[in-house]
Amino acid sequence: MSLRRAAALCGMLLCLPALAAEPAHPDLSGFWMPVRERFQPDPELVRRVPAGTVEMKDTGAAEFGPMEFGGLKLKPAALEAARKWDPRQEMTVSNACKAPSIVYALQGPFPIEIFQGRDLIVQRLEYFDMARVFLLDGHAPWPADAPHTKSGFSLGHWEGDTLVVVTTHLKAATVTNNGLEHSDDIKVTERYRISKDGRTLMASQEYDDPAVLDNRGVRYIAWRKTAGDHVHAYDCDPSFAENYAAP
Amino acid sequence: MNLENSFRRKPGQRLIAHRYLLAAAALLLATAAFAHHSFAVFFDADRSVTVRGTVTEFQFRNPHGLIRLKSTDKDVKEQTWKAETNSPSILERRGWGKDSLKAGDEVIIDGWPARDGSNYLRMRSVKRADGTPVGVPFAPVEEQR
Repeated sequence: MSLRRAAALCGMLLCLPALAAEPAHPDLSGFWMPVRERFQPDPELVRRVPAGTVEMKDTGAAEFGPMEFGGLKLKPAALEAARKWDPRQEMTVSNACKAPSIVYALQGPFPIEIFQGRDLIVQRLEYFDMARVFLLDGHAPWPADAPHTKSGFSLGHWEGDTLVVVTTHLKAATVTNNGLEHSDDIKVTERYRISKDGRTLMASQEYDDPAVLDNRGVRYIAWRKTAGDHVHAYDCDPSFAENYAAP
Repeated sequence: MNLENSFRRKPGQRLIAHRYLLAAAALLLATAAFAHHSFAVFFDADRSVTVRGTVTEFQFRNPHGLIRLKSTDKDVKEQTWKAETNSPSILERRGWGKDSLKAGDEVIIDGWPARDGSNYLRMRSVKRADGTPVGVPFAPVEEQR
């Protein structure tokens, strides 16, 4: 072995401990079906939620009734808007296929699919054919006047084995599907963890929207890994709303 | 408006409003709210309705499928009903497809009635006249928390 090759090999060996020390992140990739049965939120996720945050127990198929907001304290203007909300307007051709933001969409009973890279994670939601991109490459935050959409702008990073995603630039949309809308300024913080057996994905989704709420809310969500499936097309057809009017 | 009385006055439907069923219906709500519009606002989770009839139209599209049928209760005047289904993308995984029902099929539909008292319901399950379920029925599940 030449002196040069020996030196190169020695250098590689010296690097190995450093490479080994870099933590391997959990792989969240796959197709995930919402957990339908009762479940306990992951204690580590619960621990990370700031004190005073109210847990909204409408995750999954459950929904709140009229003027019920799961402990969220609405500002007077938001409360008044909720009182005036007319559910019949939801079922017009104009509104029947208006997508919610990820605030409502993620917790629903529809599956998600995740594609994980080193600097980028893509999360597809079957509900309303939504797709989210989590940038993990140190990307700079968007300016406040950048476009707002239903999926928003998401920056992510790893804290140990927990993926933390902060989403801003969400276009105003429903929070509870009963007349409460978040503002364009809502900040959503999500934490994702995977169970030790790799079969269950658990998340918390926190809402911070001082323009609308006097307190903060959190939903806990869980999905089970399912092999051999993918998200289906949603292809919302607004003409469905005609069924509400026709005999 | 007394919804229960209004429902009882209406012919052509078999309303099940026994108190002991209310708790079960509440538990079943978890299978019901596959909606983009609010289930709780539009439908009464504390009540159940069963309609037997002949399918006149079946739509299989998101956000909801729809079964239009004429009730065939021989004791009352014929009525038209509409039964809203879960999202077809959900139902596809439970064995449903666009050809699961066709005009002329005799079915028995069980579900939750509309709060406004109209002949509109949210489907919980569908059986053919011989009792065969359409698709894989949702299992009653407890509240998620």
